[in-house]
Amino acid sequence: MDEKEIIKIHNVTKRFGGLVALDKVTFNIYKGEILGIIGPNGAGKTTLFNCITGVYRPDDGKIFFNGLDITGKPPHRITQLGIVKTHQIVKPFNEFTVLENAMIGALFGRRAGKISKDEAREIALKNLELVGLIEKKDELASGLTLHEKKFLELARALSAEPEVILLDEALAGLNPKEVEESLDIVRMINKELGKTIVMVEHVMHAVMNVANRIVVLHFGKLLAEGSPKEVAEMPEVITAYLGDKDLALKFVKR
Amino acid sequence: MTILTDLLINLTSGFLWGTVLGAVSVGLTLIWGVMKVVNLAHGESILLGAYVVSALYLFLNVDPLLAMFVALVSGLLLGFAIYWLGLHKIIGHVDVVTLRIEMSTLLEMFAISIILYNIYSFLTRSEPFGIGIWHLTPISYINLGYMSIQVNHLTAAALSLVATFIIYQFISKTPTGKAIRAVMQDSQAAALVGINPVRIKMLTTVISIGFTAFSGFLVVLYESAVVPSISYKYAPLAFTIVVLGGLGSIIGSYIAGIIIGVTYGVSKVIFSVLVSKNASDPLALTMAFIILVLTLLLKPEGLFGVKR
Repeated sequence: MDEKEIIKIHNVTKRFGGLVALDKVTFNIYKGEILGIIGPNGAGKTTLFNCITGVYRPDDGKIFFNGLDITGKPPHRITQLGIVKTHQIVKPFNEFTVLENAMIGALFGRRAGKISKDEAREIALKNLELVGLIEKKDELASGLTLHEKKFLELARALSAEPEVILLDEALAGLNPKEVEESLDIVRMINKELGKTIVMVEHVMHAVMNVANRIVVLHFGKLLAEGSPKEVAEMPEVITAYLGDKDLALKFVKR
Repeated sequence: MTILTDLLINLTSGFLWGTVLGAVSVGLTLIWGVMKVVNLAHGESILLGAYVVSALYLFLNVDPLLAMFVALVSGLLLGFAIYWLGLHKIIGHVDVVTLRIEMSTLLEMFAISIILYNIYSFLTRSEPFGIGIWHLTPISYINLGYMSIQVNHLTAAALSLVATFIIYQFISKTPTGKAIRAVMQDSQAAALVGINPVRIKMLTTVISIGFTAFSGFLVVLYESAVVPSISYKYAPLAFTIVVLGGLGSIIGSYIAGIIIGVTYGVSKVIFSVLVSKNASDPLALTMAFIILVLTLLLKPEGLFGVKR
């Protein structure tokens, strides 16, 4: 991991009516890292993701990607620039086959318009292989299990050939074995494919284990930032979120 | 004439009419399925193509087989205008389409339908207008033994099949077609994989209205002449067919069109025996809408639709 920032979030504020979902949030995401974003429900984690991917336009503040101001750009442009997101509530195209789902990621991703169907198919197959869905490639996405649908979203995201992948609660609803499998894949995507990964996660031991760095949000504000161990020992984080210091450190060790 | 020949005749003509109905419904299933826009101006979009071909034929002596491409282009232009002048402000944004938006686009399409209807009525004085006895071959009828078929009806059936096949290939095979189907399933998810939903929605409107205007050529080929009020016959049938075929399914629409056409033909025979010859036509048309009610009750997703 080098210390070059890939995404800069500067003073981002987002209000919904009277509710301040994000309050002057500022931090950097560095190239090649796995960053975990944690915080209680309603802390603004998903809103932050939606601001980065262009689903919401921040009321104030700027977001830069590789030095380029992407604040308020439409979602498809941001995907094509190289930031993709997987959804908290999975959204595969149910009427497409697994392969078609992954292909659509490639066809409209970073090389949109410049990629042939055969190339797109190759990329899709490669990524389905990587997430272990290659045998189901001709099945309809609607027939997959939740676990498989999450992997399919990941394959679709990877097929867009992004630099940054945002994982929105990718582990929620999975059993411990599936969580382990998913974490292995996340590590591999980070190490071997060199993708920067940002994950919003509630499965605490998982995120504390896999992330290089943690950002804690609380009521829309940035509460803390640091290595998993540092964050787990911060008193304010413990009061706001983790509850108990021993428990918090246990998460890191596991 | 025995009932059996009568049945055979009505089956054949019902089938041929059904292919036209199928093609007429394809444009509607696209705009409704992808855009969630209930296109109440569907009948008037059909008429546009019918009138363009007829006017070119009557006034400039243009071969209808050439004029059908002009009809297509006129529909593309109408679709473009409808999108940018009407729909874009309402649905052009990236968000989950709610019922409220469906309501306002519905009213908007209703307004467009009334405007076009009145223009047509003014220009044609509501009198029949069409290509009349134009036909592809030197003969205008083919004798099948039990009945003779108008060559125009066969031409319309053949063209409807070819055109539907082409648009089906486009939607199912090309990347743009894939994007259209992706937006149909989930506009927001589509945006997040890099598809520009605004562009796709614009394109869908243009293609949908364009194809509908083209299908208007098939209608005038089948009917010889049209009056503005014929939109009140075709548009409701198209809505029924789209529901029966499954929202968004092109093949579904085409097959459902044939089913409705054949049902019409068969029930016409039954009603002329049971009730009277005069009453058979309106009663047979009613059958189509009984099918609509039954579809909604028993299989709301339609024959080829997807359960949501």
